[in-house]
Order: sequence, then C-alpha cells, then structure tokens
Amino acid sequence: MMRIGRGTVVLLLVLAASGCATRHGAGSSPTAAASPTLSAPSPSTRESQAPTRTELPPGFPVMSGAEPAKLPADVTVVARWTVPVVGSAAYDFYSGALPDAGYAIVGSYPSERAALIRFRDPAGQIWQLVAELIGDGTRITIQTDRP
Amino acid sequence: MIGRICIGLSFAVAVSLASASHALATDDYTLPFYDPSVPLSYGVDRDPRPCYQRDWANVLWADCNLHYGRVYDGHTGMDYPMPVVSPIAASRDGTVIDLFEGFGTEQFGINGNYVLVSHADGRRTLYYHLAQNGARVTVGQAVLAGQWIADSGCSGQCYGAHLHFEMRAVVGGRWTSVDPIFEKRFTTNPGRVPFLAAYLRESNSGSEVIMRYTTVTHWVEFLNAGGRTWRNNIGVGRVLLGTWNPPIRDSAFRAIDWPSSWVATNVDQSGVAPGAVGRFTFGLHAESPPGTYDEAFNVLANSLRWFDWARLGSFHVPIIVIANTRWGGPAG
Repeated sequence: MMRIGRGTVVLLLVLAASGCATRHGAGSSPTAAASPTLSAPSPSTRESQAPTRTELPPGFPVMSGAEPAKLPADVTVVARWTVPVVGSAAYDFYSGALPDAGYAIVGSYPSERAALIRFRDPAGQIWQLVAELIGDGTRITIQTDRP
Repeated sequence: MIGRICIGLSFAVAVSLASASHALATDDYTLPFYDPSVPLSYGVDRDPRPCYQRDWANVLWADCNLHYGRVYDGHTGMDYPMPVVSPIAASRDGTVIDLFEGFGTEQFGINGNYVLVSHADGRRTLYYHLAQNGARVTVGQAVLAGQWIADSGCSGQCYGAHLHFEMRAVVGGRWTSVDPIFEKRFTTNPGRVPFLAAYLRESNSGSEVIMRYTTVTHWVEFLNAGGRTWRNNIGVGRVLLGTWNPPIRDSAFRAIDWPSSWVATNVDQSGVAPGAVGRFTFGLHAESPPGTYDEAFNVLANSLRWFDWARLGSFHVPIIVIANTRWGGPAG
C-alpha cells in the first residue's frame, strides 16, 4: 500500500471532477483513475508525524454527479464525496459496481439513514463504504475496516 | 444420499453449537422472516444519549459511527437486509391493529409501509419499510406466529432494502422500543426463523424395496432448527410431512395410515421443541408395477408455511417395487 510522504498529504482522491463534468447515464461508473486529485489541508508538523492516509484503491467506481467533500481529520477515511440523491440509490449502485470493478463484497448492512458495505480489494485489504443521508443528498465515505 | 446426510448433519451441528452456550429464552417470539441466512444489520441502541450506543451484547460505543451487526446511534429496532418482496412473518401470535401499504418503494418519509401487531403479553411488534400493497393481512385480523403477514420493501427512509423489526412495550406509562435480543424475548437465543428443519437420519438407509401390493414402514428424523415448537395436535400450524415436487400431490405410495392423499403423517411427537429431534413415521404402499420410483416429501406447518426443502437435504425416498410372487392378484 503506498503511503503519502511526510508533510505532503496530497490525496489522490477519486473524486469526480471529470465525472461531475460529464453526464453519465444510469449505471455508469467513472473510476478513481479517471478522476482528478483533491488536496487535503496541510497538516501541522506534529500531525505530519501521525499515521498518514492510504490511497483509495485504483479504479474505484464513482457515482455520476459526485462532488468532492472535505475529509475529516481521521486518517482512516481515505475518500469522501456527496451525490445529489437520497435513499438506496447509492447502496444499490455500489452493490453492483463494486463486484464489477473487482472488489468482493464481504458484508452489506442497510438501514434507515445510512448503509455500510464491507468490501475486499484485489490485494486482500478490507474497506468500508458508508452511504449516509446528509441534508438532501447522500455522503459517500470510504474508510479502512473497523468494527 | 451421502450428500444429503452431510448437509443435514453439518447444518444440525452448526445450529446446535450456535444455541448451546446461550441462556434460556424467556418468551416465544421468533425472527420475523423465513430465510435463516439473513444477518442482523443493526440492532437497538439502548443508550438514549446522542453518540453513545449500547448494543444487544451490552457493549457501549462512545461514538456516532455505524457498527455493523451491532448498532447505530438512536436506532429503535432491528434491521435485516433482504431483497424487496421477501416474505415477512408474524413474530408471535397476535392481532393486527394498524397497517399502511400505500407508499411506493423509495418514496421518502420515515417508516414507510408497515404492519403493527399487538400480542397477548402486552407488547407490540412493528414491521417497517414494506412493499407497496405489501400487507397480506387486514386490521383486526388474528395472526399466528410464523404466519406470512407482509412482503418486505424499501419504503420510507431506506438506505438499502431491509426490514426494520421493532418491539415495543409500555415502560413508565408510555410505549417504548425495547431490545428483544438483550431481553431474550426469542424462543431461542440467538433468535431463529420460525420454521426450519435439518435432516438427520432415516430408516433403511433412506430407500425402500417394496414387494408389490404390500406396505412397509419408513421413518425419518429431522432436527427442529427453527424457533417454533412442532405440534401434531393443532389445526393451523400442525407440523406434517406432505408430498413435494410438486407439493400437495396425490401419492402413488399412499398407505392406509396416511391422513390424506398427500399427507404421509403428522410429526410423531405431540411437541418437538427448538433444538429437539422430530420423527415422522409413515407407511409406503406399493400398487405401482415393478420398477424404480422416487417420492419427495417436505415438512409443512399446516396452512402457514412449507419448510426449506434444501435444508431438509432435499428429502426423498427412492423406491424399488418388485414383483409379488405370493400375491394371487394381477401379475407383477
């Protein structure tokens, strides 16, 4: 897994500017590799000694209309964006798009305000995708696996 | 045959191990669906404070995160992922006191379509996010535990198709959601689906050679892997062995002791508790010409639900009918 250099913290986030600029039909899945990068705030010197974020897995599918969202301080969160839909659209999209992109789903946990999908990348690492209701849209977060 | 035994035994062992170390249940609710592979997505948050979550195992999580299989903050019920239009069962005997089924799937709101059932112990159970026109009961109708009452959906506030199952009780003078897992309200702990059986063994290695115009006695034993007690002395819900593939088929091997043309027998014992072994003993009578036959059977909770035949090891009895040299009737 590639680590980001000390004091750098430029995240090669997935997000979607090209995906956002282009209208994709339903079911389309632009990928992380096709998207521009998103810079995170520069950390302090002290913070730079803390664990760094890992990259989003390459070729990760991104929903049409995705807009970058600010990352939290929690470095286990590796990518975040919002999509202008509510309900199960994001859950349904990723339930199909993840396997199609080579990520094996190891658990799906839908609920009322959010859904969580645990998936394994080709290297064997397990990740979590959280789709949650925020305002009138859905926030998608990719993070490393946790209980 | 070997495959059938292996599937049945491995499933039985798994069920036994899962239930062996848990305390006795205090009530007789079952999981509100039939598919035993459905996992718990999230349970009840028993801590009312924002961003403090106490799950069904009494673990406290001091955060607002989703904890899959456990809890999410402020959750009042139990979420079970399942495809839309999956059958939903009444968790216990009761009476339907309210329902709504007019929302389309994905129509945003909160609870969406629902069925509300009142039980004799004073509790109520709620079944949320049902399919449009997904109720299979009416208000005022009495329902039995394990009865198919609705179809699941994704109506209301729904991030992925699932059933939100909620139990409510009067606490401090008002209706409050309670945690049936923590309170051990299920007949088994952990809870089980109402109707499920696992193949264990049968007589004559599972096949019969029958001389034409004669009757043999066959028996089969299944583990009660579900949450309901099997009974043979009630009408609706009586557990019986019926013909299968297709179901309710007149059998060519009906013996004189069969209750009907498609019911080989009721379960032998008057009560088979969850985790116990039920035996079904029945006759097989050969009128058919000599040859090779196969009779398939499945277990039925009468008028409620057929069991999962695959979990029964696809139970069937290979039968070879041989000529009867002692019979003075038609030549075999």
